Amino acid sequence: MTQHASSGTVFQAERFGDFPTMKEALIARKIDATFMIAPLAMKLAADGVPVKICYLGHRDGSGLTIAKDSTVTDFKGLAGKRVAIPSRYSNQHLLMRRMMKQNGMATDSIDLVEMAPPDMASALQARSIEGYIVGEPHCAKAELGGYGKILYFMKDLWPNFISCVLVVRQEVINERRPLVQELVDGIAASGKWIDEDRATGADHRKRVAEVVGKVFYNQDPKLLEYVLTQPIDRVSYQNLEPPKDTFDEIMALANEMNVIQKHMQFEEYCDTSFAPDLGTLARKVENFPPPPAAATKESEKK
Amino acid sequence: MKLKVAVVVVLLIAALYLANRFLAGGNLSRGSLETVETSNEVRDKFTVGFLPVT
Repeated sequence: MTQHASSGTVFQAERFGDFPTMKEALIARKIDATFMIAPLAMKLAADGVPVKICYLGHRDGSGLTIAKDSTVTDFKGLAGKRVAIPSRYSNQHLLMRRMMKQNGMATDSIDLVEMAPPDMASALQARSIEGYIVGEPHCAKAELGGYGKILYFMKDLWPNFISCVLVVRQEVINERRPLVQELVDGIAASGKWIDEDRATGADHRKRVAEVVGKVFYNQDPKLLEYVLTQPIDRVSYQNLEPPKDTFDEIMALANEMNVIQKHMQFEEYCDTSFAPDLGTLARKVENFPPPPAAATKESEKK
Repeated sequence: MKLKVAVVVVLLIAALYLANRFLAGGNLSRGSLETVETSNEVRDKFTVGFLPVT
């Protein structure tokens, strides 16, 4: 999340426990914008909810995780097994279907079950599922817990994989455009900053893990540091302008699999006008980590 | 008498409106939701939702 003391804007970060609740909050105008799985945002737009995807949250950052002692060694080995996905309206779901198709497998050959991401690692540990595909840090949790291993990183199956996107309500775009621009510039600047020292120790990623873990995610910073550094390209924060060709492919897959019934043109659900030119982006990350007051405020509420 | 009833009704509506505003204000608390403010100088506010997952 971003903070811009120079402009005096407060971007309030509101944490949700699941995507359906988040979706309802967006529709009910309880929040101005949100980071949401891409196909769910596209489904909302297809259903007539006035929202647009304005930027990406990150690239890659998901994994297909199996039990450490699993005998499965490749994608085809998952045939007949139960694998958890975060939502029917997720790119992880579409990727599984895409992979089944590419491997000449029937689209129902793997038993895909929807499961809330926080429940996946424990379900794997209990062996009620063979594996799960989801965004981090839930894959790393099983790895560090000693009972899971990564079968594939998304970057290896679908390079530049898109999971969560920034979705903004249309009337917010129309009426509060400078704020949306400020937010997108902040995300872009953060992505640029986080990788500035990537080749020299990745200290920025470690600092982000510390702050995000404690202030925003309420998760162990060591877990997030592992996600952000092992390997260093496990999650990427570059190339965050919504790419038309990839979204066209996502829409085609979603239509083919009946996840989204209505075919929509890219411009109907994406607004790329906020995407800044990173070469000339004036906005810089300042004052990081945030002042202690922000962290204290959160900890006082717990 | 009618005037008294009208005044009472208007006051009741106003009270309900103010109560609604009061209850709807402040930090949201819906189940597992939490709000984090990230700056001290407030000129404008913008709420962005997120799930702790990449």
